[in-house]
Amino acid sequence: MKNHRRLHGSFFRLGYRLLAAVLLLPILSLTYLSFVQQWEFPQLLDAQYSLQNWSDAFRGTDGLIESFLTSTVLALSTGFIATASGFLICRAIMYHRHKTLLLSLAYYPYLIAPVVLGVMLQFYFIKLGIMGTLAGVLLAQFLFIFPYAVLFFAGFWTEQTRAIEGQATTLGASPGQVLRRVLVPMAKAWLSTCFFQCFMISWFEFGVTKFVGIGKVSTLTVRTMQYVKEANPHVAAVAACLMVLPLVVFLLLNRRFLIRNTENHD
Amino acid sequence: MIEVRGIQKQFGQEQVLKEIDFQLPAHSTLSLLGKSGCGKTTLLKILAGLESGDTGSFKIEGREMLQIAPQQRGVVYLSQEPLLFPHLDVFENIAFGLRVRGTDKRAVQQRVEQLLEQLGLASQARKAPHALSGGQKQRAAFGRAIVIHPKILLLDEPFGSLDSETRAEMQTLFQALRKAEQITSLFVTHDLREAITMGDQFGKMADGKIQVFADLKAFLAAPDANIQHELAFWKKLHEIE
Repeated sequence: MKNHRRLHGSFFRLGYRLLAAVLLLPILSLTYLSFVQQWEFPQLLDAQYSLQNWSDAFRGTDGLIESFLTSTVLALSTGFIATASGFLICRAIMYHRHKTLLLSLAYYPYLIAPVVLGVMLQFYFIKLGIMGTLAGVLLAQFLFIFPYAVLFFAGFWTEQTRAIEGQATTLGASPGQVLRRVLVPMAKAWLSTCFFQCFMISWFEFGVTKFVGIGKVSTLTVRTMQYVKEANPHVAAVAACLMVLPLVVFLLLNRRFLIRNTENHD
Repeated sequence: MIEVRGIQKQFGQEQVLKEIDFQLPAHSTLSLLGKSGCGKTTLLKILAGLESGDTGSFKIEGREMLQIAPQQRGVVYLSQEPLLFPHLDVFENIAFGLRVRGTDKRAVQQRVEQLLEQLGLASQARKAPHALSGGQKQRAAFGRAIVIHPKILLLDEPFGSLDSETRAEMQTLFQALRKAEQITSLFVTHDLREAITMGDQFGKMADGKIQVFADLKAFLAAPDANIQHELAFWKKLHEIE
């Protein structure tokens, strides 16, 4: 029995390691590509190693840092606005007597491709004069990330949450106090997860950003695709490494959070 | 004095509450006996401000309450579920009502510690709600409600989910607390024995109406199938003994 359990454990550990390797392999190969100047297949180690690609990126000659900052501002703003508004709007929907119908409307943007959504919005965006602006890209991204946030919070706004909210109210808390002292602390894990996911959707978004940005708003994803198209794999690798950076940071933060939580529970 | 007059509520085609009328003197408890679905939760939620009534009035010491925001009424509703705030420990749960009122920190500390002692929860003060037993959770919920001296406490089958021993303990504790704190309360239950134990006044609720009786004798003599059925059971048991 013990041997069987040990074997079972070893099998799972091997599985996890294989999975980690599969996930890490593309990142490692990108990192490798970013540090070589010339490399000919299949001579993997016989290449010219250099920091040139990275120093060019940090000097801003390729416009990578500018794109990195644009993406950061865009993803932080979209993530924050979509999370905050999704949290509150979802509450209104879930407490509404036609909640099923209203919630089903949130699926609408996912029935059509993001680029088609971009085409549909084009007329209004031209009228508003926000095509090719950061505000335009932010609004376009928000329009399809926001429904995701609404759907995400549907699991939080249950009858139990409503009853707790009612309890806090009868104990004397104003709506603002209920939000600050009860709902937001209760939803902390939900809010941070939603923010992270909205951030990542915005960070990696390409279709709508390219369409509404019309080449004037160059996010990191748009720029990476541009390098790939130009057959510039080494600079594209640097850009791709920068693209993975927030994911790594969030994973590290999440790991610290998870470890702290595990210690607290122990 | 609590005065409820002509409260009505309709959900779609269903008239849940039909002309609810009753009075309740200060510092007393009205036990309301009612079956599931008789409209008792709807009535309590209207009085607490968590639902709106179609018509009627609800006055405390002559002041109309239905127009006042729920957080300003001083009417606390307690349900079968303790509904403790999961992110706060027992101490902070009990202190909640005082904190939102901006009560002085030292006064909060003193009042909550005193209540924790009364509730037998002093050793549990820093525990999270999920670490408490059902009875302890309900005690903490009581403490959280009475710490703010509510004008009226609305209890909606608060011991419904507890085992019989814990239930009896909670009934005794509640009796002691309500006398010590001079609480006015409306206690809704479907258990005849609990209704008799907890109340100073007695009433029954059926088909969206309330009937309040002059005394316990009149209450027990009511031509209500459930009351008579329960009494017959206890008489039979007494005869066997």
